[in-house]
Amino acid sequence: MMFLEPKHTINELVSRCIAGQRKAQEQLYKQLAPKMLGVCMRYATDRMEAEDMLQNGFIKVFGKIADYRGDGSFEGWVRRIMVHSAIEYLRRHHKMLQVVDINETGNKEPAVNAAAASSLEAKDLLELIKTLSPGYRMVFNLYAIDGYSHKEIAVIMGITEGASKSQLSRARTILKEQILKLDSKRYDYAG
Amino acid sequence: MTMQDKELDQLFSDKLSQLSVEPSRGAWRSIANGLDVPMRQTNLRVYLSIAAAVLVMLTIGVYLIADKPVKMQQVAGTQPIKRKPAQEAPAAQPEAKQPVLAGVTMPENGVIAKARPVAARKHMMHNQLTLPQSKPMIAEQQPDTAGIETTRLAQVTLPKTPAIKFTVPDKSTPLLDKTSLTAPTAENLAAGKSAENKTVAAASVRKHKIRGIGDLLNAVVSKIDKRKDKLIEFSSKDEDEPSVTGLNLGFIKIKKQDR
Repeated sequence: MMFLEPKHTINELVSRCIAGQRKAQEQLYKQLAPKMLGVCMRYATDRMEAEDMLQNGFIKVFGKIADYRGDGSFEGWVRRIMVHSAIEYLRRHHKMLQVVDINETGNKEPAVNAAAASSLEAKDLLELIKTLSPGYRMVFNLYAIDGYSHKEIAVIMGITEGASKSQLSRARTILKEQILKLDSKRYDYAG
Repeated sequence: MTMQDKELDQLFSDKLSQLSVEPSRGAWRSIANGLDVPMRQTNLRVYLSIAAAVLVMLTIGVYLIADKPVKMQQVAGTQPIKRKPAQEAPAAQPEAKQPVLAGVTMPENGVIAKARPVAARKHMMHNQLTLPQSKPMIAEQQPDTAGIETTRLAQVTLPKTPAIKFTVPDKSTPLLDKTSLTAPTAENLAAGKSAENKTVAAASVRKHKIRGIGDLLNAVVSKIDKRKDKLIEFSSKDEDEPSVTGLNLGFIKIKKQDR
């Protein structure tokens, strides 16, 4: 665990950050940045985008740090800001709802072997997520990994709940297809 | 066993929710710079907007307070200073020069009349035009005031009534006709000229189409500010982004010379 310091230390660091102490800000950044970059990497298309998201997110964190009331974990609060920063970045730089090919939409659900899928590494899964279009990637990340409801996603992304559900479903199908492809490649390589 | 949606979600959540990636070395530096810049920018923006607001309010205030009445005072104030010795000298002179004095003061009134509103000017012009009608009345009064010196009459009544009237009792009717004809014509010419100018200006304003924001702002400013050099002038060349080409704050005049 990166975050082993007792809570009072975090609170102290936060209050020093509220006072605008650059040293404290740097300390807080060093503690949280790797995890937060992990969050950004899931939303971004590449590393550069992720670093941009991280930078914007931390500027927001330090700008709004006085608003942190102390209820709930500070890391959770920073993570939410980071997610919003990532979404804002994607909305600014990408078309959100990309037109899906007719060939892709008509396909039936791919049958993925659960045991084979579970052997996939985090790195592989991250690569799979990056194959999704920004819209699908956002909905899948928000719902499946960051635990937002369709209602919340609809508000954050400015779409309907129905659109959120259908995009999630489509994202899952694409991911399953990608896992199958990956599996078949592995099988070919092994054989 | 095929994978269900929930299982897929769980797989990604388990392996990626705690993903940790070390940021590049320069990341903190750019964040620190980013923390400095917005504060400086917002501060500068706030100060600039306050300064601009104060400047605009000040100039509008100065313009409203020192509006036309001040201009009139300046015009009226500068002229008598020059003419004071000229007025005093003829007072000591024989009465024969009084009509000339009246003639001299006439244009002075005329100058003030120019600065008056159009309605007041029209009224004055009307008075001048109707002067020949009131001529018999003045002629009747002439025998009554025959005994009194014309100098005194002129001195007493000069500030109250227009200068034209004093030319009437003093000399014979041909002179009156002359003065009443010549004076109003000079007056009319001046008035006519200004009217012409006005119509030309109005025509030019009407002709000139408002093409951009600059033109629109110019039109609004010209409605308020009737001076030649407006309070603020915008370029009409660039339709999207108007740029300031002239500034007239009274004590400071800036004008861009393009062409």
